[in-house]
Amino acid sequence: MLVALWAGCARPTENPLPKNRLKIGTVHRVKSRNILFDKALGVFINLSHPHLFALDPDGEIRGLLSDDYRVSEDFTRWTFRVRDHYFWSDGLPVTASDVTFSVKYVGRHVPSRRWMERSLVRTEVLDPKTAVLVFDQPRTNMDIEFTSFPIIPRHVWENIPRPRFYSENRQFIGCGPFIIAGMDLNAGVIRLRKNSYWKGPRPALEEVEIHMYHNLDVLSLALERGDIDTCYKYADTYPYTSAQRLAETGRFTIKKTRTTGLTFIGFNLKRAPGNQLGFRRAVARALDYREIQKLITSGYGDPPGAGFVPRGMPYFLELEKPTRDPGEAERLLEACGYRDSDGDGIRENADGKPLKLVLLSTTRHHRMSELVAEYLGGVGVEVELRIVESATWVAMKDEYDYHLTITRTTPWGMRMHAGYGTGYFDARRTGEGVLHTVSDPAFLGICDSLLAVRDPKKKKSLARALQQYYARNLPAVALVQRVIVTPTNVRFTGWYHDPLFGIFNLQNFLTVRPAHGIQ
Amino acid sequence: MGFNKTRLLRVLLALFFIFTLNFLIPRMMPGDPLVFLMGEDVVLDPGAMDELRVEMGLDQPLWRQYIRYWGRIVTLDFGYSYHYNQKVSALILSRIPWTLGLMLPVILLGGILGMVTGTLSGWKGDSRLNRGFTTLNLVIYSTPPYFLALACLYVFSVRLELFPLKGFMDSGTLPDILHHYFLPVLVLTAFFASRNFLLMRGSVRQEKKKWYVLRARSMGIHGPRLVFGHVFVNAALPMVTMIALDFGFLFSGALLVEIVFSMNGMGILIYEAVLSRDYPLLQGIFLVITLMVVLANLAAEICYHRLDPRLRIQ
Repeated sequence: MLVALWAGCARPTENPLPKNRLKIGTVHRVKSRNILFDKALGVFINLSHPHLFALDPDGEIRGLLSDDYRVSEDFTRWTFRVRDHYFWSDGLPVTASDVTFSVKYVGRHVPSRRWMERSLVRTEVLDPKTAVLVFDQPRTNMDIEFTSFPIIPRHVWENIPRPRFYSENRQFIGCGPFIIAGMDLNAGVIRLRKNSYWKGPRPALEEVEIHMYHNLDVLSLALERGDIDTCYKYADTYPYTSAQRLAETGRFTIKKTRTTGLTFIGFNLKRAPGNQLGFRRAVARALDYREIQKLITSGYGDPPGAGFVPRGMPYFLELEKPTRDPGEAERLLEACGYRDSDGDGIRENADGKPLKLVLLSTTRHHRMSELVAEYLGGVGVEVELRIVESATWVAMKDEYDYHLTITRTTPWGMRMHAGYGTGYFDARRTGEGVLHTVSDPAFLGICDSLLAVRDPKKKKSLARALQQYYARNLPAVALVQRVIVTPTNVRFTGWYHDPLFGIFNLQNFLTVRPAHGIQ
Repeated sequence: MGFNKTRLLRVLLALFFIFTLNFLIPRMMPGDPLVFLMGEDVVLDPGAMDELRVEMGLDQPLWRQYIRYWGRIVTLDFGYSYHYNQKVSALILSRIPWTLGLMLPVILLGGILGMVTGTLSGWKGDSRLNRGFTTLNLVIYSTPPYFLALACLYVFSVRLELFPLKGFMDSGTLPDILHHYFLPVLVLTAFFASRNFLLMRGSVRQEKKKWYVLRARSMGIHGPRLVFGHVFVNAALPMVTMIALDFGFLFSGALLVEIVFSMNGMGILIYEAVLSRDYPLLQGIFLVITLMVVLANLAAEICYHRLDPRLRIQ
């Protein structure tokens, strides 16, 4: 007991924080030392394992590991050229063979990438820096796919038959400006140091540390205490209410970035009343978007447009923003046959049964669900809230066991499948966050056409047609376009956010530097 | 000791039923464990899902999975965790020492402090000090542990900067580890001690009205000998059950404190295994908890026999 008391009160001698060591706090939990299979680590290795491409702030593709690519006219043959100045951290150059190996190896072993192996017919290495991938069908968006596809060193991985259970340090050999130097899951820390074989622009940072916290409250305290310099959550924001408090300390800059992620209501289009367009329009009219923006995002979010696709996506079409009009909502409900015949404030359907709907959501959207229930209650639609944890939500939405659901899109999710959020709705697809509710041939036709074109003009026309489809048919109602708030310590400057990974992109760690004159 | 074949059979039957429930409960929970392996914003390839199902043995009929599960129990090999990408046994064994380091001092210190102070408080008459101390314990016990942990973290770590905010360690030296353990141990000990104090106080107040206390006093037994030699032993019987339960739930009892202090202990492991429907991991953890509960109950029975001579006569 005495020893514990002594240890508790004896503060270990701390070295002053080096000026160019950046400490990032996160609530993502790295569960295993495995860069291919651990989801959180898969984001953090953006610094050590650059993708072939990245997105610029306008959502356009720009080269990263590859500076040039060509695609055949039938979109089945993709040729990539690897930049000359990339070297693995053990001194070997990154080659075209690493790219072809990665596509086959990751495609074979990582379940979420298995489609890649299935559709790959063959690979070719034209010269040490030029790789060719040949697919069995037209693939128009491989450049987008390669903004998140890991490229790994062949000489490290080729003799590892079961990568899922590989945990040796050799897997950390990367070709980015930083490589993982240590990972201590008991301490909740990942340490990255400079890659001595990096030939690109020299980063001003010497070291990067990622500190994992199990809850946001303590992460906020750590920021306030100066234990960490910034925080990171994939596709998510630092709590809006805590950001102001940090700003008031004068030690933090609060950066606001509009994301292409949305929070939205999805309708179950397989059953009434979600399969009635009039009902969906009524719901869209019953909601108070301004209040949602104020209450849920503390004024930081943006009210979305009617076309579901958020501002910031390529070929965004400015359509009329939906507005609250309870009178119109009631008229639309009446027209659908939902009337309050017994005067109890709840509408009944044609059979005389009360219109009682199940609104399914996860704890993440609890408050939003309560608000939506309140708005719908105001127009005579009784809502039963079912707030469940993620696994149950996935099971229930896959069984279409709901009338309405509140969920979110991520920046990557908006780009998956044919892009523009189609991956969430196409009934031929499935996945953890995917609703797969739309089987309308018109919608599926646009998806297929989008998948088959690369010509910017045709793509623009299809993207606009899709947004008009969303606005006309309302398979979902966007509630708010999220803004990501990132507090950064004023000791550092030069932050760069990308549309997919926020601050956790390679470019950012080349531009972030200690601010002059600030200790 | 009075442990006969019937009792052993009872324990074995209980183990059989609990192990069977351990197999069934995760599978009765809604949700497909494989979906979570893919990621939130991924469109799944149905063929890939089928292949993965075969790889994980989830394509087999339930009865075959059940037989395989028993085979795994016998060989103490629970396979690989879906999400931690390592052997379940290795994963559990790597977490147990850290959680033991957190919970053993808590149960022992909380038990000793709560029982001794509870006995003294129950024995002494009403005084301002006694009432004040009882109120303090009531307040601590009524406070949710995660709130107590957050409050302590704010005062001692953020304001006074005496302790780290997270994790089991930084450098890994013994003083460093103890430095990290101190605050969570303090919070949990305060919580356990206050609960034990209140139980023990109530129990002693009941005991001191009994005839054997008067009889003992009439025989000239008084002071600490009477309180700790006679009253304490009888009043401690309900506490034995409570502390046995604490040992039984040793690994799952600190979840909220592990979340607040960002400690990767058994509590977090259980929580994440449940959320991600990691069947092999859940089965392994449930086995450990089951064994702990059964062993703790056996230990409680042994303690009862030692403390209560009436049971020995029966």
